Amino acid sequence: MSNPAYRVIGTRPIRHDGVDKVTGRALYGADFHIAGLLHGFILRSPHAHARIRRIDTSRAAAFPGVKAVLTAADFPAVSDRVVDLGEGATPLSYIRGNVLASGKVLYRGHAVAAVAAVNPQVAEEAASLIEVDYEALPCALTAPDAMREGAPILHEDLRTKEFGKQTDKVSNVAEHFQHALGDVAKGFAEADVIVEREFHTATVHQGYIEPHPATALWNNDGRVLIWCSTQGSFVVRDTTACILDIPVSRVRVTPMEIGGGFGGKIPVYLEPVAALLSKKTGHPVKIVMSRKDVFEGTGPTPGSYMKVKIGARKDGRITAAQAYLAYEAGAYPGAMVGPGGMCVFAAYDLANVLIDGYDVVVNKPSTAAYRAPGATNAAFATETVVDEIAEKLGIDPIEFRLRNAAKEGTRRADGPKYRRVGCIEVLEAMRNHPHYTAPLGGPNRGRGVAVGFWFNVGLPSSCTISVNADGTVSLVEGSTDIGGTRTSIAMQAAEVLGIPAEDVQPTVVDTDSVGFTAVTGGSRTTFATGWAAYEAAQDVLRQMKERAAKIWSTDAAKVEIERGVFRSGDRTMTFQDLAARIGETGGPVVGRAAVNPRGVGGSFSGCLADVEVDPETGKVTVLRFTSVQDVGKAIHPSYVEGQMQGGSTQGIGWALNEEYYMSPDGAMMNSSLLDYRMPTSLDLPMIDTVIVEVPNPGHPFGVRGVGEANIVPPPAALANAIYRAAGVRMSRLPMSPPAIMEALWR
Amino acid sequence: MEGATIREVIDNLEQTWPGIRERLVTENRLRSNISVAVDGEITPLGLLEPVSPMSEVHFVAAISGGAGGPGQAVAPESIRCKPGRL
Repeated sequence: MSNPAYRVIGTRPIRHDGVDKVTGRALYGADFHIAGLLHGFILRSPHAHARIRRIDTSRAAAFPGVKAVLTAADFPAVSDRVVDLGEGATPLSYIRGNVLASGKVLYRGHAVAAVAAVNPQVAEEAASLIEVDYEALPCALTAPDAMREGAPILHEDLRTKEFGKQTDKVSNVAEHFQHALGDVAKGFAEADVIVEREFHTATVHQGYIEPHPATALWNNDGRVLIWCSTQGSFVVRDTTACILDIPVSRVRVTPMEIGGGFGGKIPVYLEPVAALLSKKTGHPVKIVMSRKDVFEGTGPTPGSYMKVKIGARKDGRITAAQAYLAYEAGAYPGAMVGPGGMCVFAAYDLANVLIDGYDVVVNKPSTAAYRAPGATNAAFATETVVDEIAEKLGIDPIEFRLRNAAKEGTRRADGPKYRRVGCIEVLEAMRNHPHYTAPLGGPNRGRGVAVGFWFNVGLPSSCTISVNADGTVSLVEGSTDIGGTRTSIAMQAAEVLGIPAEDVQPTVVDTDSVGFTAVTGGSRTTFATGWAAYEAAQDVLRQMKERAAKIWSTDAAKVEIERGVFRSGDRTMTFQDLAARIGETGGPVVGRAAVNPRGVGGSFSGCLADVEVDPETGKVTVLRFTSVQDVGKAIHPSYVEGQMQGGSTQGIGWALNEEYYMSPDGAMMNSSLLDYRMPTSLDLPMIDTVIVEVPNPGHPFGVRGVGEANIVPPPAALANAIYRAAGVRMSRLPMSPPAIMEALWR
Repeated sequence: MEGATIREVIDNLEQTWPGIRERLVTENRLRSNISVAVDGEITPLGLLEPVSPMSEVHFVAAISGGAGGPGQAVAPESIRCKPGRL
C-alpha cells in the first residue's frame, strides 16, 4: 500500500503522543487539577418514569463541607426554543432536560440534582440527603411497547412527524419516515424466493474505558473555562453556552486526552452542571462519573425492532427489498434510525426498495451515536436474510453479494447515486482470502460472512502550521486525538512539506486557539482535519517559495518545490535550510487553512468469522476473524488496522454478549463491567485485517473515513456462522449462551 | 426544476408543491436536519450551492459527526429534481 510517489503517507511512524500514552504521562480529564478545586456529585433518579413533585435540598446544603447544591431550577430562565448546535434542530428544553431533569424523570439514572463539596465522598453523602418526592409512572422500555395504543406517554407535547409533516398525534413516535425506490410489490411478484424475518436488538453501550470527567471554572472575569473528555470541544462550548444562556465567546473548552468515545462523548452531560456549581461556589468544580453513571446516565445506542423482507430470482438477482426499522431513542427523540434507513440496503444495487423508519422514545437513557450509528442494527437484519436467500438458491454467499453489489452509479433508496466506491473490491478480497477456504477442522463449527457500509462525513476543520527555525513545524489543530489522528494529520502535512513526520509537532488545542473544528467522529478527522493540514501546508509552501525567491532575487513563480527541496534553475535549498533563514527574509511563516470539504467517500467493510458453538452451554467461541475494508488510502496503516480490529471487537461484543439487561420497572441490572460483558483480548483470536484501497477521488490523498464501517458487519457474520455451526438462525442480539440454548431447544 | 442555486430550486418547487419550502427551509437557511446532495455529493453550502442545468438534487437527512443525543431530529426528505422534469 505504500505508494512510491509518497515518502510519508503509507508509512508507520511512531505516534507523537505514544510515549506519553504508554508511560502514564498523558493527561486525561480526571488527572486535571487546579487550585481551590471542589468536587461534584450527581443525584440520579431511581425511577424509569416519574413526575417530580418536589425537591428539598436543605439538608444537603447544610451538610458540613458542602458548598452548593443545584437543580434544574438553577438554569437561567429562558423560554424554550429550537436550537441548532451542529447536531440538528433540537428544543432547548430537551437538551437541558437531559442534563438536569425538570418536571419529570424519564429514565433510571436521569440526573436530578448536583452537589459541590470539599471532596467527592462528602458530595456523595450530602446528595443522599436530597429529598425528591416522585410520583412513579408506568414505563415503556422497547419500541414495540412504546408504540402500542395506550402506552405510557413520555412527552405530553411530542407530536408524531409523519413524512416530514407535524401531525396532531400524541404518541411516543417522534418521527416516521420512508424511502421508496421503484415498485416493491412488482419486485416481489417477480421473485422466485422471498425471505422475511423479524429481528430484535438490545441496547448496548459504546463501552469506552474512561468515564466522563469535567472540570469547570466560572472565572471572576465572567469566562467559563472547561477541561473535559470530549469528542467535540466546540460542541461542548456551544451547548454549554446555550444551556447557560451566555455567549459562546465566554466559554473556553480544553479537550483533554480521551479514553475512548465512539460517539458517546459527543453529547454534553457534566459541563453545564460543573460550570453552574462553580458559579455558585466561586471555586472550580470537578465531576467524574462512576461506571454505573456511565451506563445509566449517558447515551447508549438504540435497541431496535426490525423486519426485513428480500426477494430474489433463481439467478441470484435481488428483485425487491423492504425494511421496517423501529429504533429506541431513549428519553428524547433522536434515535439514529435515519442513518440506519440509509445503510440497511446500501451494499446492494436495487431497483425496488421500501424502507420505513420510526424514531421512538422509551424510558431508557437518551441514546447517542455508537460507531456507524444505526447501521449495525440494520446490517444484522439484512445480512442474515441475504445469507438465507443465498442458501435457498444454492449460491455461494459472497458470489450472491457480488451479483447484487453496489457500485459507482448505483442509486441508494434515499436518493443519491454512489460515486466511486469499493464494495466489489471488498467482496473480492474476502473471496480471495485464504480464510474463506481454510478447513474448519472440527464439529460444531461454522463460517459466516457479511458486509456493511458507512457514509462518513466531512464538516469543518481548521489548522495552522508555524515554521520553526530548525526546519520543524508546529501544527495546531482542534480534533481530539482518537486512534492516532494527530499523527495521521501530521503525516499529511509532512507529505506536502517534504519533511519527515517526526518533524511535524502536532498539538490539539482549546476552542480559543484554533478555528472552528467539528467533532472527532463520523470518521471525518483524518479526512477533513487532514485536509485542513494539507491546505495549511500548501500555504506554508507558498510563503516559503516567496522567501526563497527573495534570497535568490527571482520571482516566486520561478521557484519550484519537490520533496522538501526548493529549486530555481540550478540553485537548490532544503526546507530545513530555508527555515533557518525565515527570520532574515521577513519573519515568521505561518500557514493556515479552514476547510468544509466536499468529496466525502463512503467505506464498505466485510468480515469472515469462524465460530464453534458448544451445544451444551451455548457458548460461542470465535476461532478466526478477518476484517476487510476499503479505506481509500491508508495514511498510517497501523492505525487503520487498529480501527478495523477495534470496530470488529466491538461488533463481536455487540453480537455475542453485550446488552442492557433491564428489569420490568426499567432498571439496568448489569451496570458494571463485570456484568456488562465486553470482549477482552483473552476472548478473541488475533483479528486479521485486509486493507483495500479504492482511492476516494474527492480527497487529495484518496482518504476515506475508516473508523466506523468495520463495526457494521460482525453481528451478521457471526449469526451466519452460528447457523452453519449449530443449525439455528438467530434473530435477536445478543446471541449469548442462554439465547443460543433457547434457540437450540426450540 | 429551474434554478441556478438550491435556493432558487426550492423557491420554484414551492410554486408547484406549496408547503415544501417550509419543510426544507427555516429562517432563510436549510433546516439543520436536512442536507442537500448535488449530483451525489453532499454540499456544505446549502441554499447557496450553485446547480447546473442537468444537476440532480437530493434532500437527505443530515448525518453529522456520528452524533446523537436529545432531540436529534430525523426528517429525511428525498426529492429528486432535474431541471425541466418533475
